[in-house]
Amino acid sequence: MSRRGRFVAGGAVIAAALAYLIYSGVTQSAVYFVTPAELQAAPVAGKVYRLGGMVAPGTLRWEPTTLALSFTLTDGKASVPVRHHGTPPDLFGEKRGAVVEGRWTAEGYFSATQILAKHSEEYKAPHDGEPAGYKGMMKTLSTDGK
Amino acid sequence: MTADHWGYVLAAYGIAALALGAYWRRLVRLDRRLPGRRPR
Amino acid sequence: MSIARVLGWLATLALAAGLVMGFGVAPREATQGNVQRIMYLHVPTILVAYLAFAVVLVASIVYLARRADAADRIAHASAEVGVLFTGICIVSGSIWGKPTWGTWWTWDARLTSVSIFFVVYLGYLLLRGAVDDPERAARYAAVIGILGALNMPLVHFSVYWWRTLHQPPSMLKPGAAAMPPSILAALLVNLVAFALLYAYFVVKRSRVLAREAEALG
Repeated sequence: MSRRGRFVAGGAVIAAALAYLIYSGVTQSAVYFVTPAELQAAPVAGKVYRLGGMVAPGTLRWEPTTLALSFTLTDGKASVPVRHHGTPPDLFGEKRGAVVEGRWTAEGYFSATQILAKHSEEYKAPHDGEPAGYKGMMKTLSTDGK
Repeated sequence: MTADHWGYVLAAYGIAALALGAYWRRLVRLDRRLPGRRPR
Repeated sequence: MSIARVLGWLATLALAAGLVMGFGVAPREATQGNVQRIMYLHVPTILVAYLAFAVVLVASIVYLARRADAADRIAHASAEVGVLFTGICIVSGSIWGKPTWGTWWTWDARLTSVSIFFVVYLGYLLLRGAVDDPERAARYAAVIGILGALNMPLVHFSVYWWRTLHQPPSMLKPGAAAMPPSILAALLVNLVAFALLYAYFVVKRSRVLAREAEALG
């Protein structure tokens, strides 16, 4: 094999290895969260999940004195009651996207250790109607995370 | 209404300014250290 | 005046204009408040980093085909500036993420792929420093410079291909930008400013590299 040929072959091997590494690294974090419907289909008590959905309107309760937070996450097909102890991030609110980390409990609610607010790609000038976040979140939920 | 977090904004722009400034100064220093500077 | 000087002054003026646009003209964003202004740093730096690594790709191909040292120097300079800009993008994004998402960092597909991106080009620069023979260093670097570009679509489209915490692009997407014109204008001015700064840095860096090679050879 010529010098050039070996160089090309070596490059191809490195390329394949690198592509594989990158791909496997990303796909491991690819299913970043499960949806309420996926969780409800096969809930395992005590298992750690990352759950993503929209905070259902009228379900958010927060006690600033005890820091007890409860709400329902929904994807339009199923909903999951979530409880948490702490202060949620700024963008967290009803009709907005959120991703929560925690465990599904035997008592039938999701006990979250961390609350993350999911932002949409929409930006708005002040007094521009509906809070951004809702549409983008629903879009994410409708695409199937492979 | 959400808080503004000006401290975070300042930190982000401050760190960026420091990084860009440090890189620029490195370029200038490398340039000066080399012999045979071309007329500018 | 040399090209570098002209570019340097243009970049300075454009960056000043970018600050005026980002803090003076663009409104306080309705949902996020003023912390959204970090976007005028975060988005232009990654877009110009894409440009930088595209230049590395092309210059690396040219180097391997023609063995032109000038192409290698442009690839080297461009990779260096690309890593700098990617770093600024990651740090500013992290600072934005804390108050808005509620975390400095999370391993979703976008943040993971951009980290890999950063590490690959950091490896590119380290490899250049580790190999003594300049011709071999240039050849190996060119291979990484070409392969590293494979990751670029992964970074950009990760938010469409997988579920992520990171939101999809607002500007670089099919259809109209999902933002009012004043915010878009601020982004575009800052994009031009960072592109000029990139050009200034690359011209200056590749000149230094050329003179280093001259002094050695």
